[in-house]
Amino acid sequence: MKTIKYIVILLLCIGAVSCNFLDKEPYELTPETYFNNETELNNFLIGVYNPLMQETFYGNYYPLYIAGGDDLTFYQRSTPYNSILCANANSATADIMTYWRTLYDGINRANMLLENADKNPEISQSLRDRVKAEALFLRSFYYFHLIQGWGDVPLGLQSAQSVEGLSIPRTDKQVIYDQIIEDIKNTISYLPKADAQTQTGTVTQSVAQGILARIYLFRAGEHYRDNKASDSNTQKYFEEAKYWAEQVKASNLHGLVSSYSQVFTDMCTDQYNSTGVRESLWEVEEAGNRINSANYSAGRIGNTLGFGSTTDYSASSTYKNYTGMKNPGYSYRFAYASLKLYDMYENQGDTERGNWNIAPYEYEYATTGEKQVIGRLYFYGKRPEGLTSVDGMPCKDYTATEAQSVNKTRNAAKYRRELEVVTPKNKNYTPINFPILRYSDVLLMLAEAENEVNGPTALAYECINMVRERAKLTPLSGLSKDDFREAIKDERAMELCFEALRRWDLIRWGEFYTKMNEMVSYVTRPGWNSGHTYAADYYKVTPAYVYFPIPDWEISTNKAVKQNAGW
Amino acid sequence: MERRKRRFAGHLWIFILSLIFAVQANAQSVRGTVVDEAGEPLIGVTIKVKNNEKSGVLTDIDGKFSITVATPAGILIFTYVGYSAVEMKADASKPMTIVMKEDSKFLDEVVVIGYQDVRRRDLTGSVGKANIDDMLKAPISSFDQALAGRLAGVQVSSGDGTPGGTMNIVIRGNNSLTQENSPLYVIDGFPVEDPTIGASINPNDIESIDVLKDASATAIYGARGANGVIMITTQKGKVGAPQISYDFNAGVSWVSNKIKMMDAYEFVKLQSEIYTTADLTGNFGYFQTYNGKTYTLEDYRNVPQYDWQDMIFQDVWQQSHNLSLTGGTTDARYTASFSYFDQDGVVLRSNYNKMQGRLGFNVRKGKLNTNFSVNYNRSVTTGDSPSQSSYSGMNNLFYSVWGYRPVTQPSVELSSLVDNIQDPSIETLNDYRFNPIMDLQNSYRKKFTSYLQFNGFAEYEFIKGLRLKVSGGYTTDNRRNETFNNSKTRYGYPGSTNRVNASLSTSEKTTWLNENTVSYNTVIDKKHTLSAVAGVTLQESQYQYNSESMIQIPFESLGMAGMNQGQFGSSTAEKEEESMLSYLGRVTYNYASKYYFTGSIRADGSSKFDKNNRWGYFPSMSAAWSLSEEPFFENIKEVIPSAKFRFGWGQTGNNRIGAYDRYALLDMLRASEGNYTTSSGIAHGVYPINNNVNSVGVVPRNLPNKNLKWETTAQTNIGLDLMFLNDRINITTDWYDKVTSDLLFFTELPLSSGYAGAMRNIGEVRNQGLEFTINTTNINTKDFKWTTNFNISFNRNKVLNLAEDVESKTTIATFDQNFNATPSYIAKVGYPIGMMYGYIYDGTYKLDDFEYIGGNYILKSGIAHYSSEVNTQPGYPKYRDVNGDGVIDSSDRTIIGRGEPKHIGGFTNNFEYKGFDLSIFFQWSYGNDILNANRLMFENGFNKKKDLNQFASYANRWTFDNPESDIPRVSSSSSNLVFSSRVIEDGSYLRLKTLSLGYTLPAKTLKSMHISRARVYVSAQNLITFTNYSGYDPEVSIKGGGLTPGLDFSAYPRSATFTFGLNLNF
Repeated sequence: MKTIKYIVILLLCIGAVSCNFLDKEPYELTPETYFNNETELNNFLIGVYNPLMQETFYGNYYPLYIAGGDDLTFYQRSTPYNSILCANANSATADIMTYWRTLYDGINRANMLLENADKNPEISQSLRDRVKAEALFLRSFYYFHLIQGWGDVPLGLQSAQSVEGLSIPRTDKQVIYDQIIEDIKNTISYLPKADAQTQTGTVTQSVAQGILARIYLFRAGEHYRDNKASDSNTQKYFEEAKYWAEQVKASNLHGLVSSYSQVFTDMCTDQYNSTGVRESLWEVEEAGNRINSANYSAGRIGNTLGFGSTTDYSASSTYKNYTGMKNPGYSYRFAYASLKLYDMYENQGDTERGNWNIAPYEYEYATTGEKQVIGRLYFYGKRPEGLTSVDGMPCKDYTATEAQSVNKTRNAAKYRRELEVVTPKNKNYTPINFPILRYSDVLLMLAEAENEVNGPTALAYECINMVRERAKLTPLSGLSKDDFREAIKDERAMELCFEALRRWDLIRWGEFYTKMNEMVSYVTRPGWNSGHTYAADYYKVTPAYVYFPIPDWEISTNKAVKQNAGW
Repeated sequence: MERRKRRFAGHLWIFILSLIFAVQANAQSVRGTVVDEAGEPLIGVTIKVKNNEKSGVLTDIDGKFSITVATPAGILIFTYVGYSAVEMKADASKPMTIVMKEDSKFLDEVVVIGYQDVRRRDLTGSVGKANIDDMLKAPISSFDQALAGRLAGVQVSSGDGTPGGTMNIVIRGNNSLTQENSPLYVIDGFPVEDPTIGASINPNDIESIDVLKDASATAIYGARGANGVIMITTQKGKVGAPQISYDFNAGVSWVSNKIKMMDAYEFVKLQSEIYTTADLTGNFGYFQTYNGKTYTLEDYRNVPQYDWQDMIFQDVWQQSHNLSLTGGTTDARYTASFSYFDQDGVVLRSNYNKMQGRLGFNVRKGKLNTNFSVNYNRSVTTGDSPSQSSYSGMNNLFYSVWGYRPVTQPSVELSSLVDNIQDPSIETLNDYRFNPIMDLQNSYRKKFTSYLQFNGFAEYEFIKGLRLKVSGGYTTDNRRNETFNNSKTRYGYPGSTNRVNASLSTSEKTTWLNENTVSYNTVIDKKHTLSAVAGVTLQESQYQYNSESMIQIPFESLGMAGMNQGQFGSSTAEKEEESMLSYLGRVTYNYASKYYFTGSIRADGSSKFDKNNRWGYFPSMSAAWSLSEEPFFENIKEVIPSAKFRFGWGQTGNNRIGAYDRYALLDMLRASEGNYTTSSGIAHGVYPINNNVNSVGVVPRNLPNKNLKWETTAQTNIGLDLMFLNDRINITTDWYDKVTSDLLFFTELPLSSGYAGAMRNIGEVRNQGLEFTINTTNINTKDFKWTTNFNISFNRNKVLNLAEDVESKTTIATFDQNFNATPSYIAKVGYPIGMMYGYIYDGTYKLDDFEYIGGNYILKSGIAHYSSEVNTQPGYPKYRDVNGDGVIDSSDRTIIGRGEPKHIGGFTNNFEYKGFDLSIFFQWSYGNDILNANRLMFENGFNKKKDLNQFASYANRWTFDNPESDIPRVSSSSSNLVFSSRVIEDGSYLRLKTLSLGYTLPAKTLKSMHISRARVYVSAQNLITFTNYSGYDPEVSIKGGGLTPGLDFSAYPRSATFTFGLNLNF
């Protein structure tokens, strides 16, 4: 029996020794062990900013396939891409789902940062305040994008804590508007002034004010897509929009760069307001080329949406390290400008913006070897007087009879890879930033709001004419309120095309469905390239397109959510 | 008790030729020991003297005996239940050693049930024993490849035909929705969760495979027993003279089925519906004017063209060698084996190569019995799975193989398709077709797996029947994956982002295990047999994973060796630890082999769960009643010599989740990791404020869930074992009812939470089923023997609830970005899990459905159309308006197919005639559907993609000339990008899985060559499959798992194999 006793003791020992045997802490970062110092707060804040640069948002899909679905743009391929842009979306469209997901990821990250920023009181109060203000602003900005896209959406102002209870119903968008407007107002005093920083990738007081104006303007037009009459609030929203846009103007920190093209040249050449005039208030930062660095901070602006060569030199040992004309960088050129936009510029004689936003030339390629670029061929009448060479290469004209000059549906060239300075150039990834808010947008918002509130006053004219004068157009005067409104619409189109704004403007003006369907017949007009007539199908949106479909994923996991009508 | 069933059929009789007649003289005493083949003493063996059988003695607890015989010595007869009788001449000059071998009677087979072995006649649970001899007749590299159809209730399938691929084994239906349903493997007592390792053992080293199916059997493995347990016992050294055996086989494999693609004519005809007329007749069109000739469709009949399948499929060789030796004395035995297997895949440049070595020793000294074994296994897999890329199915091999065009425009050299890495006509941003031949020939993919296992135990018997067994094991599992993409591959060609690139990943998992058990056996009053075992076990694992990738490597000719010269790409490092502490106990009792009772309990503590949920308790009980031992059975015992009724109930668990799933974790934004295609993925990139590309972002990755706990399965089993006609017919039938609750379920979360998925305990699933096995010996004469095994199992799976009052949960089976946002499977309360989900396809819209107004077809009012389709036209796909609301939208999706078969089974017939043996094995699955996702891309024009070839069946698509066709016309409507019953196909099949014919050479002719046995054979695998499925093979499931069964996209085709071989024993 002695032996049995020993065995029992032995077994008990094993059990006793191993009390901590089952405790295994993860070899990974956890929220409990984070948020200890300035660097950790700043790095988490980068995570809150991150959605902006992702391909699912401004980095590629949003300005092209999602917000790009407007009457100034068409998808330059006869095989459609499953998207809003090609009017063939459904609730399973992948880009809509990832866009939704990206926005909510940003919101949850912001919530988490807001909840934990004060964990260590030894971090300076001012830093914590600024970090929280930026996070709160971004959360509101993401919610605004959700409202624009989907209307009523689930509203979460705390980070998710548990896997339970995540089925949240859609909150009335007016409630969300109230929330985000209040939140942004509260951040302003904690945000830096626009002259306190040189880069434009993070938000400032001017950004918050300008975005408030944008939110109020969109809110003022909400009744259109819900088929409701405007109410007393509409006027109030215009007043608020005016107030906040005016705050930006009154700061005297911003102005318009004398050359329109310089604004975008800065974005393509990795510079921030290089002229010293702070026209660009907020840009989405993209950087690098996915080659020199492991950090995938490059986007696809210029490559999918934008202008570049149709020959790829990124694999050529000779050309890949060149910049400028020698290696313009590859572009798929998915976005083309519609004839409507072209006509607007032609009718106004607007070459300053027209020749920038719509490609005025094509590259001429060698026919042998690596088919390098050997010059520019300008479309009829588009070559600036006296320009005979660029980068040591000749600039010539297409003859008037050549199809290239007759066809006026041309590449959307706002973002030009030719200007990229980071080498070697990647075939698909670019460091080109994307503009979120520019001062000309603020001025036009101010002019529009002023016109709605007080009619075409001197202030309204002052604002719109600042934009027109920079574009070297004659100032406007003597318009009726309605005519002024129409003038604003065209001015916004010409100034802000391909900046992911037009589609929302059409919706808030209550014109989206009609303007889009008008385009169907536009493709048969002279000047519309007969090879691009397939684009007619891409304008055949249903009335439901003023909202996006709630993604299948959300519908099937969130039992409290109902689909938008018509999807 | 180490009793082992013998592997080979031949009996080794010892004959004594001298027969001495009764010339009685002085009596003498003969002493000796009786042991089994494992050297274990046999207790209670009856010893009698031949021709004087009235008196006899029994062996004692040590197997020793002493008997008085007349001089000169007579013949002794040794008999023991379950063992073949032995006759041997008495020898008084020294102590005798008698080795008895178990006989092969069905009821006396030894069954390994975990911490204990029992005879089948004493079994109370449901345990299936695989017939290793039958399985070895197939040319296989691992036993699981031959397990399908062998055992009732055990569903074995492979996702596709990849060489060396691991089989999915599901016992009695899927319990778990998203987690592993593969059983626990216990190899010589050492539990292994990873099926790759579990199946890695050399099949020729296996002594027996016992599959524990019901909870009364598996509960002793507690938290890991819910999916069933496969007990593998390896061969131990055998007492006796050294035996050497060598097996060899070699053969050829070929792809068993090809898919017919469009030929040049049909292909160009299709392009003429996709291209605009201007493009078609223009400089780059198929109807261009070239060298003065204007081409038309007719010019593409019978022109030179490619069938890309012909170019990537090859007939290939395989070979295998097995060498083993064994021998020893009762005090020390040894076994050693070596095997080599090499198999080329039917797809170009794929190969599986495996080498294995094994050593085992068993030493006995007095009351101490020790065992030590070491097993080393190394395998090298070359080539990629063709269905592995889930972000984009277009990166998968067969998208390119099928999609690459068969013919070019007149101005483009046909051979340029083969010579160029990409077809310039492909829009590379949205279409990832890539020269499949060039990619296969240049991509370097190797996976090295080596697995080293040390196992040993020491057992000491303190007093009679009381033993302490201390066992320990240590395994290391090392894997290395090498990838090199040179400039002629999809991921490394000059236009790619990374250029020539390489990656290397390594992982090591080390596990140690210590088990300490005390067991006690006793027989009271010769009628009450009692045994008990209790123990504690500890197990701890460490896992480490590292990977690095380098891009833009300058000198590609150096391959992996030149990796360091590239630019840094990315790296990852992961480390995990987990541990488990368990207590177990079992008591069995039987009364006169008539009434049996067993009760067991196991308590498991796991580091994967939070302190409050850490411990799980898993009880079981079972009983059996041998009716045939009852007096009332006397009369029918002639016909039914044995009948037993079994009942069991128990609870088991499943803890197959990640080591840290309960924690909230943060992730860093950097490099290339992460994408949105997986539920836990995060997008890559980091926000470069002020163009700082070295920023680091930190973001939450997953939600905490402190409440995570075991998934629990409660199972009731009722079984009946019947034997007819003196072992000629054996029938085993079982009914079971399993309810699994608190399912460990990786569920997709509402994206609005900021998280995409989480591990949760929700829902309840029931599996009910019936299993039926019959083994018969149809004919058994001296020269001819015919035996049959037939088994069939029915499993009904049903979702009982999904928690939170949720009626259903849909799942996205990711395989391509065009379909990764739409669910294709659903788990719905009241239905089996893994139901296919989508629209009901009602054919195409016909001309009658439209009014022809002003040159346009306008859909008649009252006819529903797909809501996000603006302009429905004749020939567009028509889905059923299930809810009758006049529009077809996402709420009209419904169940359109089932992944679970209605029944599965196998049918084996073995014939032996003189030296010949023939084995014919059929295996089937009935009533399951397959979601043939290939047809979404290759039988609908795939969004009007240019120059994308299609299946030949698409030639019959809707056109104005073929207006009755139900195959959608060429269009780019989003209604083509949905799942519907159009692509659901019946996946039932009946397969002639193995056919083998062997001949054993007569012993006489071999004797002079010192060969004790020689057999030559031919064997064929997967020779014929009867099915209506249109894809490569109906045994397909590229995603596996309970939720998404039967998805076919770019699966590796199955091969048929024919081998010849030789078994030699010396």
